Amino acid sequence: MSLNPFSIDDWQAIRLSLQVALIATAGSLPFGIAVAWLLARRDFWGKWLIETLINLPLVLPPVVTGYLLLVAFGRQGWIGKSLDRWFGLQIVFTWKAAALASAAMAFPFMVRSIRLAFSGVDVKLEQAARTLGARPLDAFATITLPLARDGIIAGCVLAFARSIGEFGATIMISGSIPGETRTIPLEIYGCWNRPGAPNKPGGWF
Amino acid sequence: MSRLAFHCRHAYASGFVLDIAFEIGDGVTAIFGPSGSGKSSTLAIIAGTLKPQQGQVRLGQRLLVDTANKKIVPPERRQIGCVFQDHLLFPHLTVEQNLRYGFEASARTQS
Repeated sequence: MSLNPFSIDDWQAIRLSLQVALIATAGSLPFGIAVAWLLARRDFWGKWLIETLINLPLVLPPVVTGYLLLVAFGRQGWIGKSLDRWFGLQIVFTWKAAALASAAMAFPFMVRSIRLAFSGVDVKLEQAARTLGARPLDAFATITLPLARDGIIAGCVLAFARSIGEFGATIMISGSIPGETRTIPLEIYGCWNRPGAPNKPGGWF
Repeated sequence: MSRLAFHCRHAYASGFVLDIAFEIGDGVTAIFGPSGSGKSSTLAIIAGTLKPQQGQVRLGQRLLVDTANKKIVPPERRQIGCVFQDHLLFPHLTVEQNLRYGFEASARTQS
């Protein structure tokens, strides 16, 4: 038995998983903060619709979420077509699709955590900052964000963890291409699903 | 001319309607009344943290609120000090940072 429990393919999957989860988390954080702030601080028509859309991945089977993403971001999909035409960007069956699937699946967790954190910041502190001369964005950056920091970090950790384990939506929209979209869960599944004897991922286990 | 002229009307979703008009001169003015009568709302409108639906607020020569002309000066441009009911400190800042906050935030807004 070698000292290295993982094959080259395994290491490739681990590296890819970390990369995809990191990009999915970092990429969705600005949107997560914006949406969480809207939900925590503003009342507007259609709020229920946004809440429903964001939380949809929690109640839908991941494969269905992946299918919906595929319909939207595929080459003939309404978003995918525009991205291809205007930016020459093709998403499906690349690592970008894996990151997109992870981000969509993890988004409700991120928003929930950050929204709670924003709700916990006393509005009076923001108002005090305004009367002391801070513009709205200044007050947000110097008072609201630092006070919500723990919740934002928690949201990122949850989203990252959810991304690492993403399987169903990822396999629908990005397939299982070694080194490109085959993340840890897909690698584990792939090892057991090959014809012939089971080829265990991580020889030690 | 009066120092502060205040005429405002603001209907809350709860059904409470604030409808207050007064003019005051120099010196100390105290507002008193039962709780829930709108004292804090009045001060919030003067400070700028509450935008009234209707009305006009003039401080000296400056028109702070004029809803007829859709004019509302944001709180950071009013330079009105406001001490809140509960002792409010920014909990994530040191004492020194709390004291400096007003200077530094104003400097960022003016620049």
